[in-house]
Amino acid sequence: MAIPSSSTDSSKKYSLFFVISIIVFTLCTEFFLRSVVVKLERSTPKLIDLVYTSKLKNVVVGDSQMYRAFIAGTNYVNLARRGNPLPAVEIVLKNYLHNKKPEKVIIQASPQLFATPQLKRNTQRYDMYFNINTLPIKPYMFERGITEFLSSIKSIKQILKVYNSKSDEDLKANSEKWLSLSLQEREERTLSRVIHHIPEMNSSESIRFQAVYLRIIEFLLSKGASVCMVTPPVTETYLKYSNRYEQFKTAMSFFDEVSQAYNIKLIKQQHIDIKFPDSVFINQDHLAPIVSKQFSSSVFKACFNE
Amino acid sequence: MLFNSLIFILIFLPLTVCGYWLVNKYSDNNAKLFLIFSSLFFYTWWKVEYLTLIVFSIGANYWISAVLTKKKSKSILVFGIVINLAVLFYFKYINFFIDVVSSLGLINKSTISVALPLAISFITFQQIAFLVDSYHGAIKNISLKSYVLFITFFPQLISGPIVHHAEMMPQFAQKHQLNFKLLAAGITLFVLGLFKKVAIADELSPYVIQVFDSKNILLDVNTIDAWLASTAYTLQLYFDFSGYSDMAVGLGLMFGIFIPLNFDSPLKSSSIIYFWRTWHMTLSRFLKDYLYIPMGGNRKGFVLKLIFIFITMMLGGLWHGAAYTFLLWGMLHGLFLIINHIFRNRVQKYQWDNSILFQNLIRYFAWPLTFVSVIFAFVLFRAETAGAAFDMFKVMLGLNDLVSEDLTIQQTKASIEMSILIPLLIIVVKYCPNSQQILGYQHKNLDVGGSYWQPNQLWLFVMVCLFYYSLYEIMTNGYSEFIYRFF
Repeated sequence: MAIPSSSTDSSKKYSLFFVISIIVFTLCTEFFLRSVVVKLERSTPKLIDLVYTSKLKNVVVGDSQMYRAFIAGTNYVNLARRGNPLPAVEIVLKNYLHNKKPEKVIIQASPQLFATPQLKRNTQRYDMYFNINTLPIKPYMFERGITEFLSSIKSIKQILKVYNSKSDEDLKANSEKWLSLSLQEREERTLSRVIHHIPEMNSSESIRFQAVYLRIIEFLLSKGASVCMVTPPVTETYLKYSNRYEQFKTAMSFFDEVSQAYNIKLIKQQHIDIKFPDSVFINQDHLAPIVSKQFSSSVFKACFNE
Repeated sequence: MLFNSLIFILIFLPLTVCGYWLVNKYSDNNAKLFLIFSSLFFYTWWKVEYLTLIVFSIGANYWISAVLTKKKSKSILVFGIVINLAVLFYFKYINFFIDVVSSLGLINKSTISVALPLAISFITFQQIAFLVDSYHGAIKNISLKSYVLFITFFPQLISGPIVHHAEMMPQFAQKHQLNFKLLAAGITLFVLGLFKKVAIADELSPYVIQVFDSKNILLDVNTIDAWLASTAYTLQLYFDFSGYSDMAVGLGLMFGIFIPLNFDSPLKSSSIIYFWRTWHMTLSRFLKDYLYIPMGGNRKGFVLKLIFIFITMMLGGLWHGAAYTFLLWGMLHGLFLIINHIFRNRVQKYQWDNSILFQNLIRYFAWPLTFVSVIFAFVLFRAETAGAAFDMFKVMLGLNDLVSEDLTIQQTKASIEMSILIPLLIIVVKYCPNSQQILGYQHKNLDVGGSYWQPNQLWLFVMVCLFYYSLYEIMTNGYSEFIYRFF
């Protein structure tokens, strides 16, 4: 029997320990991604994790207004996220439903979906993500939409905070800060937000986005979903200022036309039997969690006659 | 599949290496088959459509070679070369050709939508060399399996090194046994290459893009940024391609195969002649053996030798891509080589090298002059168009009077970072040993070791750190293509 030389022996150990280091790295990274990165508040990894893990067949999609308005319900998956433009919404929806048959789907119908900042955001790189969605087992190490956000973790303190967080921080949001502002400050901020939200319906990019909206509706209907369009509530001041701009009406008429064309209900603020004083908002256009449960249940009732 | 992708590093590579040695334990032949199928899988990961092309190309060349081995026929050789070049021409140069001909007014301007098949430039050269050597009777009894493996062996398939059958076939024909020393060295070389790519080359990339892809170089770029970016690109290209080549050589070692080296510290060179002996060495070797020497080499006098060098460099430039910039880059290097050869000729003739003044001049000025010349030429290699390259030259030489006042000082954070990083990297490329020197890689003796690297705990610790950092960079930044992947 050949006796291994010390050089062969050390090379063998070297190779073996290197392989072990790869396995350790892979396991630790996977654990870290699953226990910390996907828990980052309002993050893309959190959304992707939701897409991969949720089994719910009722879905809510849109931007942060929808996210906040539907934050507290439990019988649906809330795939809405801050600033999500329509192409991103489409990608998320298609990935979520690729192996599911949806039941009830609520899609946002707000004018700001066609505002210039939204049009510029396009897909938010979502077209590069969801690359492991077709795999039966999903190793998060290979999901770009999760690993890219490793760099957003800056300190051990942050890691421990995220790792130990039991409840969703967003559920603790309230109107306190908003109400502490003077009336004038609130008016100014609301006006500024309304201007930021002015829709642009005639640009080529907006026309493309409108086509995406129709495509989403058709996709959902083709999947056999019961679809409902919802305009999330905003403050009275927001409504007052937005009514001054013709573009908001034009955008809403687009949603009215879609609603009629596809025979889909369009639920607006006035259709919900809830009062919306400033005290139920965390700012000019985002509902506070305190009213979310009541709002979402009213919406589902109004949409699907539940 | 890229060498710097997680799917390659964490799945394909471990499975292939383990699978190969496992199968090899029972059957050497089956292990080779396993390697062939793994390599074809690796190739088709990018685009399955081109599998037919590569399989057909391998089959046709093997058949032509078999015919040439039996019957030395020049017309069959020419036919084989023309077929190979025609495929390369169609996929790589057709649109450039249409562009040139239409600019002469001979045809209407149009483009053909054709995707460049992966590795076609490298495969074509290897197969032409094989045919030529078959014609010269240098090929004997090569099995189809060995030939397929010679072409498709995945470590060198995509971007070289351009391997020669004489150095690869005997290795593929041998029976291999798992050698842990080679495996450990292969892992080390792979990690070093990966680190060079993702931690150095990719870090330089954003700044290079920022400067070279400026909307208007004359208006947006100042002289300092132009020099910094050009130097950064030279370093980026070096670390990118030499990193890739290190990875390829390292991968070869994991299978017990010694792949030829492609770089030997070219940026330490004190002359352009020496630069071309150490930069993309396997391409230079191919151009020398199959173009320069058949043209006449140095057998037909000094003047013709210079002309042959110029033609070789021009075609070598064009090999990199169908664009005027590559052509001009090759021509500029051809010119540099001519100057270098004339200078060397004068030195020998007048025996200047005996003078102390001359020796001092060489000692202090040869390296900076070569380095600057290389940087200058790479502007052509990087620029989107020849016009953009000339704009960059203008800015570098301070001939641009359009640049706005506020751009006369380095003003971006990136410029400041680069002015620290680039000198450090220059020190590394000038004074540090290269990867093969660290490993003691001896391609000719088919051995490694006896140098800085030892398979001990310290080296293991360092390699694991570099590897972890590289993986972190890949996970957070995504993986970028190797520059030479497109050639």
